[in-house]
Amino acid sequence: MKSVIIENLSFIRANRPILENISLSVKPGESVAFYGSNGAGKTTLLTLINGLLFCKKGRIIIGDTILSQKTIQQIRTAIGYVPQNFDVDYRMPILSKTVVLSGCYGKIGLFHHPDRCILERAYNLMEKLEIAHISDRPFGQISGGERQKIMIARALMQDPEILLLDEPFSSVSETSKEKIIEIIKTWHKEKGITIFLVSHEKTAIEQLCNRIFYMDEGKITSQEMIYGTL
Amino acid sequence: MELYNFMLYSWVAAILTGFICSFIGVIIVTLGLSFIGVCMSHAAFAGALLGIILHINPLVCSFIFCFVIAGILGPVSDKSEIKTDTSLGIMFSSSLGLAFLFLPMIPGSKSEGLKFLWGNILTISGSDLLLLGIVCVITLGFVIAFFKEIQILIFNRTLALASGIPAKIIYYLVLFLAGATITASIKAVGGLLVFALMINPAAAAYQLTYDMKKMFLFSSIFGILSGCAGLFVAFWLDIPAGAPIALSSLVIFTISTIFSPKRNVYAKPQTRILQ
Repeated sequence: MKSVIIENLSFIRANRPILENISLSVKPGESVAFYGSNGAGKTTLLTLINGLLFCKKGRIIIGDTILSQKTIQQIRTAIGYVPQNFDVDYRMPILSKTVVLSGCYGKIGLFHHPDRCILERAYNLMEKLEIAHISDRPFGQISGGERQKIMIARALMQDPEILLLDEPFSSVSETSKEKIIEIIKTWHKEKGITIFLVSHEKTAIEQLCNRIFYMDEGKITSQEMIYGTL
Repeated sequence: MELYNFMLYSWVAAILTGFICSFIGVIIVTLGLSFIGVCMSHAAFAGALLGIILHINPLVCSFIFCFVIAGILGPVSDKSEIKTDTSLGIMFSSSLGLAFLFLPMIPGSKSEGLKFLWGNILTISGSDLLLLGIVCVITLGFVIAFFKEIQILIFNRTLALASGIPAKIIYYLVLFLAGATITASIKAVGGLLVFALMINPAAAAYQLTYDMKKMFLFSSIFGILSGCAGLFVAFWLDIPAGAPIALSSLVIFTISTIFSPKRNVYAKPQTRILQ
């Protein structure tokens, strides 16, 4: 599994500093959370770790690779990403099962198709998350909570070494939230993945993470260890 | 024998043009890039006019112009702070400006240039058919080879990238293929009406299914039907084929919309409230 080291990272968008001088080190298999008010820079930080944005100042080291436009393709398939709930055109002709399967498309590569084993893994994951019944429904036609679960299944299909979760519980019910937490915990225990969680839900953070970074106005203001969780 | 060839070429051109435009049209429509047809067709028209002025094969110049537009469009939308439809608008107005600049520069009669705007399927030659055939094979091969990646590109480009799919390259290839399709079809249906053949059959297929494979199939059938029905009407009424081809595709779209099963299955009011 991979460690993540961030050194003096700053990020500016439209002349406004979004992140300022962020430094942190996360060991392989550790589970950490970013907690803070809206606009604190939590999502931007996850996007930078995922290599969907690049910073001009500071650096991110994943495993032994310094993240850059040149190196990102080598490690992209090792990072699973669950984005914040996003708007989708309800007419979009993409089925939910296609979205789940897409998680492993980067790993299986171009010109190859998911084999029976992958299809079974996708179905089992969807069963566990109680979304197997909507697998043939268009993604745009399902509810916000179901979309969230589909996105989690998609990220886990990637079989990631690092899992980035951006508000994964924002639209799901309490029962579903418990189920998702349980699945991620089991995944973490079995595979030892490194987890980064952005959430406003303290209880979920306490169940899933062993360290919290508190953020405000683009800076890490403090950090706290949580013992006896994972 | 010559009459037989001319008839045969026209029918083959109608089938190939109908197929290829509607096939690539599925990706264009689902990516929300419908305006790209107008933009590219005018670029192809401007390129053809420049070819005539410089005494170079107009189709070669059309290809170059479309490829330049495709080459600029992708990076401009990616790197600047403007939306793709805005960059398409800028490219469209620039192409139109160039076309208006080149048109008066054609020595003598302008009909040689204007035929690329209106198109004439009855004047299709063997080499034009060969070009259409090559573009058909390349486009079909591209979609078959990258079908799973194309689906995710349509779903969300950022997530496609996050999954490790070379989303940017595939997106740019789609733009290049759209340019190649328009250039190969411009002589048959014209720069103005190629847009209809690209969008209407795909939009009609969109009314019938959420399954991408079925969308490609339905759209291709509708495209070929539009091409053949339009050509039949053109022969029957002795008029240029471009207009009846475009109108046939409109009729198919209207019928699909009226009988769309989506109205009954998914688009119930309570489902929409959830969105």
